[in-house]
Amino acid sequence: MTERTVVIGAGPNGLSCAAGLARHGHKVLCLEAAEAPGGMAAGFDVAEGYRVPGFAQWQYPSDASSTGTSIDTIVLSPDASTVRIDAESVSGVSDRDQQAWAAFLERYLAFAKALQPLMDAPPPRLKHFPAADRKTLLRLAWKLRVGLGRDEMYEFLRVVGMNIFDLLNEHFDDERLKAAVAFDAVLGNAMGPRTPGTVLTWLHRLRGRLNGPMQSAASYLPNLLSDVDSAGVDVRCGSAVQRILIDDETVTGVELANGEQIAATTVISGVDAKTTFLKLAGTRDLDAMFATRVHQVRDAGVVGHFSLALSEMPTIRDVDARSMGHRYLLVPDMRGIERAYNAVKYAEASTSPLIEFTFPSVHDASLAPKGHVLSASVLYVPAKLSDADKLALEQRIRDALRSIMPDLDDKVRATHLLAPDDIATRCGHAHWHHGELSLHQSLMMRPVYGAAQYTTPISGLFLCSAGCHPGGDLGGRAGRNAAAAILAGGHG
Amino acid sequence: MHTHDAVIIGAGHNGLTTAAFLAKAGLDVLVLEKNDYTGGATVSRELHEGWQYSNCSYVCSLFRPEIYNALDLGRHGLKVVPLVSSMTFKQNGDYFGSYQNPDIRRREIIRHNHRDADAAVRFDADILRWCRLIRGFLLRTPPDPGSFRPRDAFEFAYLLKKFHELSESQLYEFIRFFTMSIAEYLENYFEDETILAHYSGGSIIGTGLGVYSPGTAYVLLHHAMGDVDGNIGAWGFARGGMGSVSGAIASAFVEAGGKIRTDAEVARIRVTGNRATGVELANGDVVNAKLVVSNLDIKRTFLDVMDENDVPSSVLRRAEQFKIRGSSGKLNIALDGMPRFPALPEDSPLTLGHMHFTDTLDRLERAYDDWKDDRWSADPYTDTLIPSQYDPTLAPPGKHMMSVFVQYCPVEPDGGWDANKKQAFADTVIRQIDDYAPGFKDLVLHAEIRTPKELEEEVGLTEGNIFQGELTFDQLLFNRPFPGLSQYRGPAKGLYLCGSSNHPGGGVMGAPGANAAREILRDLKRPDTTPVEFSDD
Repeated sequence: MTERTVVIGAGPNGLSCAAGLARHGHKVLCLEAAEAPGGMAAGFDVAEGYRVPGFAQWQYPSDASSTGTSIDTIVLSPDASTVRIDAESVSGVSDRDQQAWAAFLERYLAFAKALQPLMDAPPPRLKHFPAADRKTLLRLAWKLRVGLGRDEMYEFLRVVGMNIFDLLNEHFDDERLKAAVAFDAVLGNAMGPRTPGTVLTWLHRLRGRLNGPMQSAASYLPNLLSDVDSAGVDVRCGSAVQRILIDDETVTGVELANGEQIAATTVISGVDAKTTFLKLAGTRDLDAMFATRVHQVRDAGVVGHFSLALSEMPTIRDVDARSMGHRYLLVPDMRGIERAYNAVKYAEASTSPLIEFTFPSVHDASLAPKGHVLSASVLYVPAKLSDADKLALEQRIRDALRSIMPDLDDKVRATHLLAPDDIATRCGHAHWHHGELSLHQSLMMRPVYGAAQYTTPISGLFLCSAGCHPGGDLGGRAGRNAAAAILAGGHG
Repeated sequence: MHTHDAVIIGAGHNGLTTAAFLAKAGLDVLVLEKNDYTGGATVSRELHEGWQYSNCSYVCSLFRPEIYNALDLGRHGLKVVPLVSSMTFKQNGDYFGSYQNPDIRRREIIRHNHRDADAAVRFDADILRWCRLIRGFLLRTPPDPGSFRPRDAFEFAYLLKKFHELSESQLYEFIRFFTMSIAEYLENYFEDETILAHYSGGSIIGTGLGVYSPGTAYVLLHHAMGDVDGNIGAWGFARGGMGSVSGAIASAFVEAGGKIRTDAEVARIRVTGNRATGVELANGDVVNAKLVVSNLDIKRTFLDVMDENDVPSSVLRRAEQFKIRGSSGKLNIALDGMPRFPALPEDSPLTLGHMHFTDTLDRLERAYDDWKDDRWSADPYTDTLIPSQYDPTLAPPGKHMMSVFVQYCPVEPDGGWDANKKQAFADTVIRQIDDYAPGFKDLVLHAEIRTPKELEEEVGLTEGNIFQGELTFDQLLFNRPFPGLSQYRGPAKGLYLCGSSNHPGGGVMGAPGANAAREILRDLKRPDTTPVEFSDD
């Protein structure tokens, strides 16, 4: 029997893991339930002839060598004033805030860099650790104490457990600038700016920024797929896995929804921990407390997706028509963001939603040959929305967009709103990171301890999804870490 | 002019604790207090004739038994009456009671959810483990992560050793416990909504966090530490009110030769050549001392009573950044008689303990949402007690004294506090109690209404934060009050800090005071009079 490696799910992390293994001699079969690869990065039609390239609006380059056009973040307000954040600086705010931003960014990029040993390796265990973990911990300690120096290390220790709300109030005056950073800190998680741990989620985002400035997400999947193809991965779409086959606590293969069984010595799950263990593998071979922990993973998605098919590009008040390729934020101040978050705690949609949008067709004209598409992430949206609530939310989003794009309505050809549950139906899971990036679900506790080093209690079964360390966003870091861990001889 | 060995600013329970241990070591110590009474927030006050209010802190839950023994506080008149039950009223007319007797407690849990009764066994065992672990750190000085001194290395080694005694999965469980929200943590064990709400409430007391905020789970220990480690006597009502706690410490201090001066507000700490030399009072008097120990919170110490030229700019900045928001209010009520709670059986012992009126996690969380928007909670979480049932010294015969701790109350509502708003805040609370005790309103003879503002103005706690600084995980251990200043020493020589802004934080615990005394005696190379933590393991 030939040794075959099966990766379940052709999302960013599944594909990244598959490519990493295939380049090192694994014979990899990647099975995807949907008709096309990409997972949350897969494009879909808003209307005939109008397509959005996936749920994410932007990406950070996955490595420093990457080339691509950088995009800025432009914060819009109903009063038509804008704040613009580019790779180095911020404009539209006071001189004091401009200077504070430069110093702030420098400091936090240094913090993100100090955390890198922890992010780009399997999370170290805290006892009985192998030599590699000891190395990770020592490198981390060295980078914090010596790399940062004593005073900056003190500052790091002071802020690392804080919430982004307090931190930003310490540094800046401008509410729009603070709101933009707070948005990045909470995007994808069921957290508000005042939730402790949001400085860390922001640092987590900033890690990607070390490779270069923000880019449009439109080119992400085509690049990844060509990489996967050249690595020799066999991607099979329309092949939903319904069972992971296990014999004597060892993986033997997978079974597809049509009953076909595929033998494999290594199975890597790119789907979330709950589905992997509770549905595909089953709890029969798992320790009861382990299964309980998996069951308790917090992973309710709170990000909805809204898109518009447009006959032509609308005008944004006070924004240059040549700037339409950037990323726009239409968000209230931090207290408003917190209020928006309050609603979702009680499973209601925010009355003043946070909207992050781009026009991906500016970067890839083939997405809308006859016009443009607008793609927006909307916070906070509860998992399930009734049709009436959906209609009401859509109205609120349209109202907010109209307040800064007065000519929008004439140009709309079709609209499309997806609640988190709709996103889950489409690509398997609704949470940006397949699980909250809260402190208790981070590092050696991600997704749960006992399966945090990409290995699992089942021999030959591994995890590589965004639910693993270090979490999601495009870039496939979890998938690449998993591939490295498997190649280094991680055993389930 | 006389130069004291040490002068202590503030006669709160920590200031007095530091003072007592220094006096016992033979130092000439003077305590200065701005009010005309001592105790800070650990006081009993007759604000309505015939009634004694513990008008700030109100239960004796955390006070370190080691300090009680070392200062012989029993002999100085401190008697703690055990407080053994707690309960939550349900909106549907039922209630959940948590009793000390394990059999009755189990039966009561089963009445609500039979699976939760087994979960409670697991829960108690886990909490006990964390209590034992944490207790070992309370009476120790945190190591400084920026230091390479052998002493800090040794202290880090001690911490690592303590953690190394846990199994790998216990280590992860501990980190989870430390970083989770109380609601999620309890959901790992319990299912019943009322039981979840009941055990969550204690974790938000005094914090600017909600039951779903990460970091609230471990606050549970602050409430469990007293009652599960077997020191039942150390958890309960101080006879005569909380003033008996500070009174007993003061008595131990005076017996050891110390002096207390009230009505002596300190205006400035005098620093000459980077050495503290004494203090200047508001009336212009100067008190000379070789050491100055501040029981004030960190903001007040560095930003109010020190000249900014005497404090390094990095310390000033961090003092400004220190988080110390007030979030709690309190009502102290003189009652014409015992209120009746129709939900409870006649003569139920549950009125003897903590009473709560918030029976779901959502209600608790919504109370927090109000505070975030600078409003007092429309449906607050309260910790209500009627200590006069135990202690006849608190109210005239047949009458009662009720203490209602209210979470949440903003430091400054929109437009600031005025008499109408204070009354509206009190009415919200009284109406809630009246819903469960019809006729309660008519029993109220007098109510002292306390918002964070009163706590700030009377006691001197910045923003009325009861812990002298929020107890979030970013402000604990060597991060308390901030990294680089966690060893009770101020930025000038001879200047020390002994308030709850320092490790291990607030609650009437006495540990910061004892730890500060230990560091001072260490610097003076005097024999240590402070206790080490004892172990019942």
